[in-house]
Amino acid sequence: MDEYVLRVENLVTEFKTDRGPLKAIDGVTLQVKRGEMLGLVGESGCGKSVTSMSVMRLYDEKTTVRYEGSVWLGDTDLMSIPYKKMQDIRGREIAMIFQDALSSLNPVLRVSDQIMEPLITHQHLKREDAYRKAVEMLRLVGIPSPETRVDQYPHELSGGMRQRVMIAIALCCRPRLLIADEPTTALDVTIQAQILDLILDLNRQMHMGVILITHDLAVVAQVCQRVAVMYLGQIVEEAEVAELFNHPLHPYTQGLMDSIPKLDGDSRHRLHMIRGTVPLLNQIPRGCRFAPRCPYADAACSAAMPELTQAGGHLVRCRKAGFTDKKVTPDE
Amino acid sequence: MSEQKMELTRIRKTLMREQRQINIRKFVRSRLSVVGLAIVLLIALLALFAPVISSAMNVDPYKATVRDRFQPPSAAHPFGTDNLGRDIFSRVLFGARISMIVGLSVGLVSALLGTALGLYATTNRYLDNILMRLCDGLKAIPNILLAIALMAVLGANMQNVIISLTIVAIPGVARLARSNALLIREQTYIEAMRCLGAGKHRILWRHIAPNILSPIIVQMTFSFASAIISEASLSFLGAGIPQPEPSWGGMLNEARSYLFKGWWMAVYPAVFTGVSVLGFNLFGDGLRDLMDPVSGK
Amino acid sequence: MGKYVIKRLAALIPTIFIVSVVVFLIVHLTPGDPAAMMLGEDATPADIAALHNRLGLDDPLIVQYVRWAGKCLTGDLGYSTAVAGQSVSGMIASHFLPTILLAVYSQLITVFLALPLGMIAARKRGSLTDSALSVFSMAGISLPSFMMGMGMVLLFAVSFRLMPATGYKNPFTDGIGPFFRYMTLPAVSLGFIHAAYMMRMTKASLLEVLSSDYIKMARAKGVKERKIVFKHAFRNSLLTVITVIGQGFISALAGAAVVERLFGIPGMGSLMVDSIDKRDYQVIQGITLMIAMLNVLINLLIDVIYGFADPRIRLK
Repeated sequence: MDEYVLRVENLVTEFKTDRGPLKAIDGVTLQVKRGEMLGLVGESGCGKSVTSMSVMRLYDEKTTVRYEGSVWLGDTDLMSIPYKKMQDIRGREIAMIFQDALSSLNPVLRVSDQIMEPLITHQHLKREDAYRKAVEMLRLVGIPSPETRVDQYPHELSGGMRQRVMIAIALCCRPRLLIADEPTTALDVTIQAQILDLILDLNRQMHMGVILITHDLAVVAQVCQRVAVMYLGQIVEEAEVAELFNHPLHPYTQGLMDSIPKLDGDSRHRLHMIRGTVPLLNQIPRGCRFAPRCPYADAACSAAMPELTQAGGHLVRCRKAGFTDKKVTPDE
Repeated sequence: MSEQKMELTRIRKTLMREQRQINIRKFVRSRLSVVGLAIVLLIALLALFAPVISSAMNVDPYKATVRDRFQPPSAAHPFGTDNLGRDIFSRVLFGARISMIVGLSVGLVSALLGTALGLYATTNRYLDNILMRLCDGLKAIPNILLAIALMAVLGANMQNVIISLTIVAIPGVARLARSNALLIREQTYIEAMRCLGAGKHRILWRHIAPNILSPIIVQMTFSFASAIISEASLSFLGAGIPQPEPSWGGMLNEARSYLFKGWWMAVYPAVFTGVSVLGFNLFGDGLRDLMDPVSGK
Repeated sequence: MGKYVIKRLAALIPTIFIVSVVVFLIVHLTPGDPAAMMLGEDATPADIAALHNRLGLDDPLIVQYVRWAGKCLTGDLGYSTAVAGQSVSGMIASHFLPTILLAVYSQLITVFLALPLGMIAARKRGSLTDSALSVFSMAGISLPSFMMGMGMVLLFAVSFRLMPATGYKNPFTDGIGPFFRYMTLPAVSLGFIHAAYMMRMTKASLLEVLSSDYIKMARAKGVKERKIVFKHAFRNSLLTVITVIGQGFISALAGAAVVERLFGIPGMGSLMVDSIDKRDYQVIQGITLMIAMLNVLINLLIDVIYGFADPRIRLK
């Protein structure tokens, strides 16, 4: 078990709202190995970001949220340590990068201050040592002339550079796990590729686990070893990348795969769309959550929630995973 | 195991407490605007029926009786009497009339004129420039100072109080109307109306004005409240409603010299001023939350 | 930075021009003959004509404005029409100190009261403390300064006899102790309404900043909560707070009239009120102009501080 950096078990995150509690994620289970890159995919609103925020315990537990389940980082359960202890874990053991670097960097602080902060907090470096380390980090993430850039403010940098700065901040304490929440969504396609390469590179160099959250399946195919697919706050399928892309078992995963446009595909064939829309969180169906939109669903599917079970090298949450293995095209 | 159980109970307890707090807060907030409305209505009713109530209680706001000077509150004079022996209760009631008339006039007139200025400013660039620079100039002079200066020049009487306070309130309304009208104008249906050949004035008043009404109305409740405060301040300074009219500010001005002798002379008009302003502010806050949920807290 | 300040200064000129025009018009566009009004009802036509001549009231408005503005630029605000031989600037100068001290003192009280309370309300959002504070600030906003003042006089001067009800002591000649004894009640009454407002604004802006992405990022870095509030959040919400302090200082200067009258303080507010009774328009015009100009200058100062606090503005 030691090789797992992170094991999330049955994580539930429940938001307190004016109309009562709302489960944004419900029983999420996933593992990340050392040096591994796990892709977490799903439509917007499926709970990817909530999962990452919950792993870091970044929601205000006094007023907005309630957690259940456990998050094992090595052999500590992050959910059962006091909230104050989390401050030592964040930035040192687990780091995070966000989608929008411009709004995620503090506009009134210099780049140097923002990189030095975790170094001073966690590694108790002296200011001048931290400053030297900050320049070094900027060089590592590929920022040209880091000696001048380090003294600038975030708004003086380009979008790609800001993203690199954020990666530098995240990685300066050499965390065991990096959570990257849509790190390339806000960037141009060319910059996207560079940033992905950088993350991949650093992942290999530092041997850390990475959770890459994205809605872009192409990105996952490029850089990840394993993929977990989320739907409505649950993991519905998890497998090795090649396996999942070639033989998706869950009807939802199949739908996702079919909705990717293919260059070599038959252009007369229409792009597949999963019927219906994602239900709102307060209208979650009782049994299998995908049943109302699933072409294979029957009465039994809507009656009871299927468990996440082993099937042909996958973990899949579907009663009919066996039948649907052979990609039956549903009637249209 | 038992530790986990304790943890769970703890969480459950905190959750329950927090849920309760959220409910209390919502309750308080909606209740507060209702309370505000109730206060406003009550004061308005008192103002409206001031003569009826006074004669029913056999008191007169203007009648000075030397024998009755500095009477503490009693059955005959619920709020006591002042330095000239006049009944404070009826003076406070009639003072409510003055506050309401001033507040209402200033609120309505400034809303109307300010909206007109703001709307027409959007039609012509030069007009816009001149009007808005003028508003800037007026806004550079703090409200109360501008009111005092205008009153000094115009002379102290009720009509001039209304004129001065309206001039003070107009720039704010005009800016608000202008910025909202500019937003509305960009929307395509106005473009469509223009293509259909609707006239300038028709577009302004029939199509744009109704759409900027809600912020203007909210602003009006706040103008109302600040007009009450300003009128009281002006009268307190002797630059507002002249004696012997029973305005709250004027009464406080008289009470100033007799704080040691008759606290009731100060307390009642002060409480009425504060409570009615509070009423308007609470009501205005509620109205704003209702009409524009985004800018509310 | 220097360039930024110069740009701001240049932008000041049209504003000052417009403000001066407005102040000028307030006195000169009113109905009736100002000379006749100044002299009262028993003035002879000859007196009125003489005053017309002396004030140049027969010239076209533009000529009057240019002459007046030119004099103002040299610091000459004209002569009092009520007190013979007194220059307006001299009168303002002799009444300036109490008002400015009162305004500064009241702003200090306001800031020390409102900032911490606003921060507490934001940190403990939704708690009972927060609810209590917001009710308190709502009530505070509805309390005009003279009511607050009278209440405090009744309480502290009349009932408990802790402090004098009226009067003024100059801290430089009478000592700092008496100054505080006499000026604390006026300063609190003047500042209270603004403290309530400032508390609300501090809370609102801090809440907005605390929900921003860079605060989330700071948390994700493992920065301690205390440091997040003071280093990351407070500096960003400082901009709002500075604006509110500037506004507060100006409204304290302007609102001083009421408090000065209540507490018998010989400041500019008292001078203004006396001038109303004496129909001394020159003094009224002079004070209005001066406070409006101070307002413009304080706004400039706020802009400059903005430039220091926020690199995005400075480097634009």
